[in-house]
Amino acid sequence: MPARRIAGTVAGHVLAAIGVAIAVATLAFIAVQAAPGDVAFRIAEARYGERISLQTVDRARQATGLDQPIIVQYGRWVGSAMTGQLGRSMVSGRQVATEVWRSFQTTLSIAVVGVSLALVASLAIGFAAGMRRDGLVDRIFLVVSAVLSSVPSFLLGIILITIFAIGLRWLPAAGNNRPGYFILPACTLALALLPDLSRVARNAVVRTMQDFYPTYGRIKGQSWLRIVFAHALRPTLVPVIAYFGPLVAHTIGGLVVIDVLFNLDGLGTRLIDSVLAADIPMAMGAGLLIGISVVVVNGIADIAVQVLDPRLFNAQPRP
Amino acid sequence: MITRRAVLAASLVLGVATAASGSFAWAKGDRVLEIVSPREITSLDLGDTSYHFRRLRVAETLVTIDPEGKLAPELAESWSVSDDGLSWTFVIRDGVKFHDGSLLTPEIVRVAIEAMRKANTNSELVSKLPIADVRVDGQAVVVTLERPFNLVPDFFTDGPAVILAPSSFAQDGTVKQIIGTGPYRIKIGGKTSVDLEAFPDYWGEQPHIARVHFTGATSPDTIANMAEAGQADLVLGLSQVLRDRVEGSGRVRVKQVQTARINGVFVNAADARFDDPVERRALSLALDRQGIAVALFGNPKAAANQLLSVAFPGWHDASLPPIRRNVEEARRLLAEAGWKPGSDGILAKDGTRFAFTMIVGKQPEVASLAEAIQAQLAEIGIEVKLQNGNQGQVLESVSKGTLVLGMTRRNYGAVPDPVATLILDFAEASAGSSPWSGVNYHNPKLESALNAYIAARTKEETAAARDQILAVVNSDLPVIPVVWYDYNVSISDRVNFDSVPIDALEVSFWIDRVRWAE
Amino acid sequence: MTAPSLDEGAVTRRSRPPLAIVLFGFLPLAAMLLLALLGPLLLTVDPNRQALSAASAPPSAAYRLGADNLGRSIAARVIAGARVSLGIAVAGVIASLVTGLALGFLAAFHAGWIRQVVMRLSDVIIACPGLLFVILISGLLGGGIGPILFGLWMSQWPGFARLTAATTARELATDHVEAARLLGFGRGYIFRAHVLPAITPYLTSLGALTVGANVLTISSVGFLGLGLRPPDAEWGAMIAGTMTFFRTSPHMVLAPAAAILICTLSATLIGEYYSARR
Repeated sequence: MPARRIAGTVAGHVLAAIGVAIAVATLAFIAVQAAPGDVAFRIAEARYGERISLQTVDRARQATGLDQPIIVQYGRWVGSAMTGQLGRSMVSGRQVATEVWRSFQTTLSIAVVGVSLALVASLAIGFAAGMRRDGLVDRIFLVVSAVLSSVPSFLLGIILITIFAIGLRWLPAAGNNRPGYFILPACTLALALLPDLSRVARNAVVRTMQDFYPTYGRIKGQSWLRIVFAHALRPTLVPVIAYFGPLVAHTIGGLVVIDVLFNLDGLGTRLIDSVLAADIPMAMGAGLLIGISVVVVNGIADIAVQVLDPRLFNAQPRP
Repeated sequence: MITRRAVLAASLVLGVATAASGSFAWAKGDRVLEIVSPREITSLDLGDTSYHFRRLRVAETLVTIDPEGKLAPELAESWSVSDDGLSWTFVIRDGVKFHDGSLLTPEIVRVAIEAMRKANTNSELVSKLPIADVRVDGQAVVVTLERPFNLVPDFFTDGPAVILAPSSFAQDGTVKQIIGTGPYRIKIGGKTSVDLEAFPDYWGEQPHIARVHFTGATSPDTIANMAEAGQADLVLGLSQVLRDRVEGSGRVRVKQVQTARINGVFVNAADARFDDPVERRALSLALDRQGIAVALFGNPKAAANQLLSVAFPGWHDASLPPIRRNVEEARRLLAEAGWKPGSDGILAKDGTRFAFTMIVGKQPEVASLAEAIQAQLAEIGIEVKLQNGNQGQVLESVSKGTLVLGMTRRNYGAVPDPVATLILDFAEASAGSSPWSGVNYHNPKLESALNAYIAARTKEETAAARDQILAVVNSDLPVIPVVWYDYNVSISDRVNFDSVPIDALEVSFWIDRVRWAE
Repeated sequence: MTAPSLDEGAVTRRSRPPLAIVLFGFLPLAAMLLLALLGPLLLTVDPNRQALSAASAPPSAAYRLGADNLGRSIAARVIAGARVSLGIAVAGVIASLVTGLALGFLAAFHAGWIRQVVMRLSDVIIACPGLLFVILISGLLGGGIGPILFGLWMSQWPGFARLTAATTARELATDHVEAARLLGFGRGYIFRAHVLPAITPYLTSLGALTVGANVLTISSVGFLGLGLRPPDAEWGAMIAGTMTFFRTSPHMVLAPAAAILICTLSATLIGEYYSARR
């Protein structure tokens, strides 16, 4: 029964999510501790900036329990995390859960819009290019996608800002307090994801077009549109969705640069800032949420692939 | 099949709709004053936060500094000192309301001052006052000192000396929210974004603009983009290198003032490389200040020839000539001090190479300044290795005793009288805990001059002490000034240019005085 | 990666690469690599020599590509940067490739705990954002070549290990390798004679694509200000350091950006060509 199988898959993914989340949070903790130098100085720097002094360093050390042994600090965090308490940031003094959640919302809105745009565009491009392999559209696409994949994403972002925020003044240049703030970051992300994703789509279309059904449709004299929607879309989606695993990793990594450019405090940026600032509760909280997100997206992709292509049920999961 | 198509259609619609709604709302433009500063509000600790919220006109102090740099009454209507210089009386303004509706009383001020006394950190000046007792006397608060100290009102202008409502504090005395008395109150507050609205019960004049949104952005490029895109009405602290670019957009004008802040290097005076003032003078001569000022900061007037800038009219000596680069003289001074070039061209003395690591922040202009210093010192045989890091790491190397030379961006105008900061940096009691003007540097002459200044009873005594302080600081060079820091405010065409005050001491943004353009 | 390719036969195995790939793939990359190798010989100016009076100078006879904000020759810095940017990118790929080959081959050869450990570790690392790794390590260790290289290696060897393991497993299942094993040929022989030839086009493809990706990663880390230690010339850091002047003096940004584009584009074209061929 598919429903039961899916339930089993979900349970497996939930277990994996908990495991990965704890592992990533632990890694964040280790990263904070492993860095050279005194943790209290890093916290005080993040807190006071240029007003840092030896007294403020001591104050930071006492206020944050850094005088405790490392294993006690870790154990305390795991203990309180179990009861849903992520604690307070050592730098801002604010609730980690609230702050991390706010970052998550920023990242999610940009990621969802960006990935959706990239997905829609990739499928459109994939069909346009892949239906006539080695045709003019296909060749142009290959060149454009190779060029696009060779431009650093921060330059893409700067170009978009220059055109749409400074030139035309249609959209905000930075920040997240204006309506539509996520459009330029999301477009930057979409442009950064587009080359790889559209290549996956294009190759999938090429492969699908050599299958039986589209050929059958063509013999029957069906229109291109009908062939695409009735026969080709579903098998094309399978490899595209299976690609979501690496995609989410690219997204989180790419968003770090985009966050800086657009002055957003997304999840990846939060993780990096807090690890560099030795803000242990915040680093572990951000790590926890990133771990869960990665596993959840992979899980959804896994289930979506199974639903779209039931043949894969009994086969090994794709590597 | 249907769901798949629906998903596809929905995501398309979503994309188009968000794009449309975004540009629509953007074009409509409702009247919120958008202000941007390069500093984020990193924590709720008063040692950090109070500066921000005073600039934003949310929290107020007993005494303030007006945009002209003079002491001015704020929560204290007036103040006076007894003839023996020991007891200072601050008359608290009547009828002042906090943002939670409660009344400001002299008792609240007394408790606040008691808390400031205990803070005991160098970023909180009041803790450095020799206070013996604080008591309430009718509508006044009387501060009694152990010994005469001239700068009491100055010290009460310090950021952490803001007076907050008792409901601002948690049980353990830490700040949980900012409830002040200023013309603006906080609607929503965060690290990079704060929404302000006018406080209807403000004791003074109501602000001209009722709603303000503050953005803290650390990337100078992002700030410039926001200014050019018309998204920022005021950028308070626009990086000097970005000035031309932002003004070039044609929609923004910039006001500029030279601040009390210095970009320079400070040394460990106990290290064999910099224990002799001659060595410090040689280093100073090796630097091409004019080149740096023009190339990196776009302003020839930024080249510093003394510690205190024109922001201190009584202290800045306009007659001093600029310090010109003189590589030969620098080499000669070092040779006289016993430094001889080794086989690799790097100077050495008694087995010590004139080589060290300097920690560099990641801000583009700081990094460029460091690279310029590195290249210029290489020409006199000093090898500087650069390492990415921050001020915390610099301080850590100070506390470990490994620091040889570091970059500093010291603000001598935290309060109007530079002596307040000089006492922190150079007086015997606090030396070592405030390294930004030099590490392990002691000069009894300077210490006695500082003490004379704060205890002076006549104008002549004050002037004599001041001349002594200036003479020592500018010749001993525990901190080597390179360029003065310019404070730029970019003003969009939505805002009345002349209504924007500009404040060399960076005390306040004075946003309550800003008006929209007609 | 293990999905059967339908492209075989479309391009014959031994055919020479088409002219377009040679012109836009191999030639530019070879030129850049040559620049990286011979860089110091070609330099007539010290890339770190400053002339503040020439700061931000536009291209001229003295400064072919103009000068940066510290008055350093951009041409010299782009040439010197080839060694750093491309050097780290290639070194990262070589380190990952060697590690991946060894671990992947071992994992395929010894089913059991070695396989489990290598494969599970790869799974976890591949699910992690590689850029985040590099940024964190560089940030924590204060930048420099070592941390970046370490971060690239950490995040990239699993890709090569998985590719090797999959190819090795396929080769091991063939009759001729089975025969070789029965005849008593050791791991080393089987690796050299059977696995390596089969895997080379795949590795070339992945390697070339990774070189391109690395150049971008290094430039992103440079953009965040966490990359190499100044004053080392590196293309990403050159862009980051002068991005401020992008609209006023675009020449400072365009030269290093073009260098990044050429390297990544040619590496991508080569990688795509080999990936389509297999």
